[in-house]
Amino acid sequence: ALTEEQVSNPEQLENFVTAAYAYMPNLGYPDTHAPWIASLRSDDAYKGGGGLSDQTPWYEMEIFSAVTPNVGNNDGPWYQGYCAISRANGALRLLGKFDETQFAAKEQRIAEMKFLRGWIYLGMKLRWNYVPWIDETVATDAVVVAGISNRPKGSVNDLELWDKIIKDLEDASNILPETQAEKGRPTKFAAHALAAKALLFRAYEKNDRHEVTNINKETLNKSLAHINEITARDGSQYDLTPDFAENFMIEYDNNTKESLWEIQYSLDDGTTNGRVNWGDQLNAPWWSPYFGCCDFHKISHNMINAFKTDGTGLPDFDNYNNTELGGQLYKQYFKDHAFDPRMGHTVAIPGYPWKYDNKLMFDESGSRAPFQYGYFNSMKEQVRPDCNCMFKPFYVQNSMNKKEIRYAEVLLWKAEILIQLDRTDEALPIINRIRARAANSLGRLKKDDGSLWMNYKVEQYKPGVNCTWTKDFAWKALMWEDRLELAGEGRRFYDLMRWGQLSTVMNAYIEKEKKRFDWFNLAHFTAGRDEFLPIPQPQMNYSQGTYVQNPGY
Amino acid sequence: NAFQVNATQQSRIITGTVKDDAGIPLQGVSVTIKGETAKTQTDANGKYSISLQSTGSHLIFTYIGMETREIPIGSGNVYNVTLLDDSKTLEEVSISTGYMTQKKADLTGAISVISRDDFAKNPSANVMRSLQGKVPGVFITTDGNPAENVGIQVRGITSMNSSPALIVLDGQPVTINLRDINPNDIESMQVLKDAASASIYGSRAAGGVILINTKKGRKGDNTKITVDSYVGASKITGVPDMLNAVQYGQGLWQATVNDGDDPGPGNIRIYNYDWNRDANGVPVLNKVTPIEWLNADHTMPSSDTDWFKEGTRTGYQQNHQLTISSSSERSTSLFSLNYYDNNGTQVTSNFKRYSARFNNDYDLLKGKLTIGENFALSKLAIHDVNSTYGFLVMPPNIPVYDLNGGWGGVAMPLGMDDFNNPVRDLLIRKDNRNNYLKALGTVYANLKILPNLALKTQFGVDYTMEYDRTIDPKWVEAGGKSNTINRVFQNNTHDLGTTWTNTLTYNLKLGEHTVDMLGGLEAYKLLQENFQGNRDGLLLENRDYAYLGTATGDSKGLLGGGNERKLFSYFGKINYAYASKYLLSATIRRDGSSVFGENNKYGFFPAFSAGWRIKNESFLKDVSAISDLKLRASWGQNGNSAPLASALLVNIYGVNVDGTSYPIAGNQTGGIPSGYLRRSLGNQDLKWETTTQTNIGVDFAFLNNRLTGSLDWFNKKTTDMLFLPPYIGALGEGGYKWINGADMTNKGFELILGWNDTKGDFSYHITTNFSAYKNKITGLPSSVRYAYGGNGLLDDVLGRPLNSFYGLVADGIFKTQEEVDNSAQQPGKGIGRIRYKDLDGDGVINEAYDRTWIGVRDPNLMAGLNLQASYKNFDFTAFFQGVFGNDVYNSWKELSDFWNIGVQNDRNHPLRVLDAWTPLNPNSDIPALSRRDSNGEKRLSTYFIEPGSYVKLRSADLGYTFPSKITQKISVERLRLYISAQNLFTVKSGKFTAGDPENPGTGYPMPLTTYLGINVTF
Repeated sequence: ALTEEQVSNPEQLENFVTAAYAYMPNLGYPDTHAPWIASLRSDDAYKGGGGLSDQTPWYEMEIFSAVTPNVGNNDGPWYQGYCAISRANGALRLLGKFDETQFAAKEQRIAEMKFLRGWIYLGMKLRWNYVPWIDETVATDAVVVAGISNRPKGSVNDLELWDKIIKDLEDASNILPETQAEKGRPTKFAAHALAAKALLFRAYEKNDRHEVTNINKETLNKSLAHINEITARDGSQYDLTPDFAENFMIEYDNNTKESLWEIQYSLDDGTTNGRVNWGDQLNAPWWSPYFGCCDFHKISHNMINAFKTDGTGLPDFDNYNNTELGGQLYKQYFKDHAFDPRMGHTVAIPGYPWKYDNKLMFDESGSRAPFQYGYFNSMKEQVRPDCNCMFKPFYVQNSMNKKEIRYAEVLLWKAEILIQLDRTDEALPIINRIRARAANSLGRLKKDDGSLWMNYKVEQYKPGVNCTWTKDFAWKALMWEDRLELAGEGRRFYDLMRWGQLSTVMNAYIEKEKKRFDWFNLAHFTAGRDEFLPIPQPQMNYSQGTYVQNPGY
Repeated sequence: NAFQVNATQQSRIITGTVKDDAGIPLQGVSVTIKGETAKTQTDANGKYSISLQSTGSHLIFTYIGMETREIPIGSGNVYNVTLLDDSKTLEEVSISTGYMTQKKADLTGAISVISRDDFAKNPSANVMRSLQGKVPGVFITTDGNPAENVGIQVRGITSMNSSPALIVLDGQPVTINLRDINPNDIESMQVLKDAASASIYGSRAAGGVILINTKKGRKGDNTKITVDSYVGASKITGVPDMLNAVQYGQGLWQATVNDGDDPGPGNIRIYNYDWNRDANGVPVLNKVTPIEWLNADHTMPSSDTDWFKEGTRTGYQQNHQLTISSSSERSTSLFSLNYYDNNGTQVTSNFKRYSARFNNDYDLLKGKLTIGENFALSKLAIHDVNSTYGFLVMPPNIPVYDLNGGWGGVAMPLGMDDFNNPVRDLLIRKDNRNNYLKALGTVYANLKILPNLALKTQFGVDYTMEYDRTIDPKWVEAGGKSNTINRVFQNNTHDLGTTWTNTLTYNLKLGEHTVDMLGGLEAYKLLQENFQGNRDGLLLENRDYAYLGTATGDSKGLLGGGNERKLFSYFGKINYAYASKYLLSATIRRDGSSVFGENNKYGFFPAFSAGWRIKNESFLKDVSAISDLKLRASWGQNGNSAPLASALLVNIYGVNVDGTSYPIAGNQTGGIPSGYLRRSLGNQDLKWETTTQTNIGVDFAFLNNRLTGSLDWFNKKTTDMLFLPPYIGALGEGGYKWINGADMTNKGFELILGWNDTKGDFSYHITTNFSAYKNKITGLPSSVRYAYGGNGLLDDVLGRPLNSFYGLVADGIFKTQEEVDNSAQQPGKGIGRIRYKDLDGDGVINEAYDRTWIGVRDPNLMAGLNLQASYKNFDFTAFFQGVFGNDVYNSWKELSDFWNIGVQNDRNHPLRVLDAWTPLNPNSDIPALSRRDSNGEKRLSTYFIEPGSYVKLRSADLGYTFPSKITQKISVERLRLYISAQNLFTVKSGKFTAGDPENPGTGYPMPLTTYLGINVTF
């Protein structure tokens, strides 16, 4: 064991910075902040696994009605989030003790730590809305920390918290370099992207019932300014990958123009089991002999229907969800309809190749409880079974990087802002660019004879030809595009939250899913409550009255 | 006086039994009558018979190495006698009380003296296991694991964290597991229970002190060889009747149709069902057919496996002890060898111990100087496994082996959940074991500077080396589960504790005044070092091959650490007695520990006690009905620092490559940088936790010592408890900080009563003991008010026992839709589901307001009853033990009553589950089977709280000692054969639904064990 004095010197500073990076990426399933946890709360996916009581807390989160302040898998992520923040704060405290003659990289590392801290707080803000802001100036003393409320006296809404997060990210964007030799470190543009994301969320101002009361154009413009810093590098530093697939293949880790920042994973690296992705460890299919466990994160029937295109290759906005693929119906279903190619990259479907391997057909045995969750697995976070990038004693962990910020998403944010700023026409080419890339991502979805595995058909929006590009239509198209592009990546729930559409969309989803899986009968999304998870009851207890519970709990 | 004349003129036969102070019959004791010529010897059972002619007034008993006793002959014809070592006389029985000995009669503290019979007749590798229930105030918990671990708690829970009873072995305070000590080597044991007795051990004594002295050679004995051997067989009892494969299919069907799901092939792929709905729409099952093949290769047919049967066996025990003792005028020696082997009832579980002891002492300088040593070496090998959970949950349709001799296993492609074949799990790791090498002993020199002034110096060693090599092999089950990586682990730890003790004792006797004084210094140091390595990629999984150096994989771990702690102590004690009537004692100890900061480095532990031996007052002297009567009272303080492994004064940082390294450069493989994390926050002001205890007791003996007993009442208060509170999450990583936080009290009593009598050839001895305590939390840091139950609003554990259960009140199950409709709002309620009580009456079942205190784990009363009898050459013992009034959280019920309320789905169940509620079985109180838990029935509720009272016949044994006439022909001094059995039966509450309330859940079941044993002395 080492004392604070022994480790407080310039030679040790890098070690604190490294440790701060190390915290979040490897949290195990009950504690993880991995994106798929938000995916199962949205209409993208079902929890999956062995059945409803396999990881009951997520079942409760998925049906919303059973969530209480004591719900499981909620206190862990809260605590672990603050553990990661405490590492960043600890590094910042030490960095502040020395000047640049003692530690040349001081300002860079401070910026990195603020970036990390801003990123973690952003994730926590989206989960719990009001979280106490603990930074490096707060004494590491339980009494002092318990005195800091998640809703400080005098604050009327969450904008102050947003501003703190945004400041961290903007501070980072001012200092960080344009490129990083060490790929795990964020660049200036990664910081711009997260600042833009935080500002985008902040722009949709809400009341305490989580209803949008104002869309702040000034804030949107601030967000756009950050995005423009990135899009100024379009084509040179940042671009969409030619094939959508490359975002989800380990071969392209740290090696695409689409990725602005990746969570790094490694194997055979001197640690016991490798620094692999424990957050997704339950998500490989139940598919012997290829994978051990555990068949979580199943793509919803609603999501698959959303990939279905109409005869012209555009989304079937109104009637998409009126087709059924439950039980064995899916076999004919996939033959009868046309789909956006991104489905082939997002969903594992029995009878079709696993992860572009024409010799390896996914099959029904990969599904543990098809009568509760269907047969369709999320494939983006998965690798091929022969990849030497896995630690799989039973649970399956791989070392594929998580592309945390994709240029495609940045472009979609830009389109969203432009539509909200009534610059609707400027959004059209962006959305079409995303769709064009989707249309071009067929190379890996072909049989050996060169024909397509499915009828993939996607078309760009052509005003006057196949649509009328009004603001309303553009908004609908944008929302749809967001969903397809980022399906299963844990964005959907928060996007709906930002737009104030959670209760409408989720209750419509639940009503229909009740007819597909009867466990949805207990599901209900309560507006004004279920947008956020409750502050964990143990934390309410520890704070001895300082914390304010989220409304409705 | 005619009667007297008559009595003295008739010749009479006087009989009786002679035993030593441990209750062992003495053979060959010479019995004579003062003034007469008659002479006889006791037989192998210590019995004698002698004819009294007329004039003799006293019986005289003589035996080498023992005191000679003269017993006046009264009107009775039976005289049972206890002979003591030369060194002791009845009034002067000395027992160790910590660094010195004291006359038993003069004790003023609460000390339980344990008779050798108590553990000799109920053999076990761990002496405490033999003593379970026999020592009032000492609560011992065990299970059936051959690893022989026990829990020991003296007078309730002393501390919320660790506060182990201190073991003092041959005068050396040690931190050991008592299974390390060969019970056959133990001569005597005492438990110091009150603070006044224990405070001489200061900062390590808050949890009580167990004093153990090992056997030595006895002055006056010639070379003596004793062989003690037993063999035993054990079998688990109370194995639950599990569902067979067809019944399992039936349960699976029932759970599925109860949920309204179709049990067709989409939902259940391992059984085919012929079923229909009756006229009322109730599903009726006609036939269950397991599918033929459970895997695509057709190597694994559906089977009918009884996993308990497959994974358990008859366990075998053997114990062999050879003891050789010898003495000369100026020395004694004892040498013993022991081998103990216990194959547990679960396949592959095993515990083996080899030990050797060498105890010698030498008198030099005409008896002024004694030099000696007590030393034991032992080697232990433990394969500590328990697959009870696996036997219970593994579905019965799966075979142990497939048709090719490979492992059977759950059919993953058919949707079965991730159960491990428990037999496979046990067998592939059969050679993995933990090995310990232990050296434990003291050397000492005792110099009598003056006849009444002695200086003793003693150096003790307590050394443990653990070396383990375990292989985690690859395996494949025919159902698709597999482990594709093998790995070898090597682990080595080195723990060396040394204690150097120097004491000076002074005894003074002036008329009726007796003063014993002691002063001492003690230095203790513990040095610990360990390393562990593991690496994957073994070519052969063979034990002869598999080492870290032969594994070649890239995945490896290397860990190592160490720790050091020291104690330095001063202590003193003074005992004063006036006419063995008024007794006073005072103790002080000052302990300094390396785990505390300068502010609080030293702790001071005083104690005082007083006794009044009323029997010695003149007004009782001649009251013959009262043989002895003594009142005792004591007050004292002890400390505890056991929860702290090392100094925690400052913020502590550490490294952990598995938690702090990150591939920052973007490399997929190859070395990556690591960093620091904060482990804990320091506390400069940390100090001892203190236990203050008051004890009032009475010792009594009536009717010529036939009825004996003592009663103690105590009040033990632990303050400034060392406490590592859970903390507010926002503090982040390493926010743990030890504080002196909580306060707790334990109040209780202990009663022990003994009755012994002899009728001709028949003599018997009944001992019973009762003890009880009430535990109460009296103070908690406000930040953790709710960490021990309570709803976070008003309810908290303050003023309640620490071991309290807090939960919902289950109010039966819903039988009709009307009941469902008219009950409080409860998400997931429905017919066949548990109804919870709406305690606050707000119409909603809510965890915040509808939970309450639903039970306490501590028993109201603990009791033991020991029956001993002997008739001619036979001896018999039976020991009953019981606890009463405790609530048990029956976690077994989660597994037995609910089809699915855990992570694994569709587990196997005991037969009981088929009696669950269905429309056709509407009177059941077991909730309807379901493959979901929409009603949240796993939540802690009264459904799982059951009465844990039990009475067990712990042991019974019957022995026969061969008459010396026979044994002498083969030069054997004593020969005894016995049969013995442990855990013969249990009586429990009818409301307890699992097997053993002592061991609820999936602990290693306690077996019924029978022994056959022999004791031979040459």
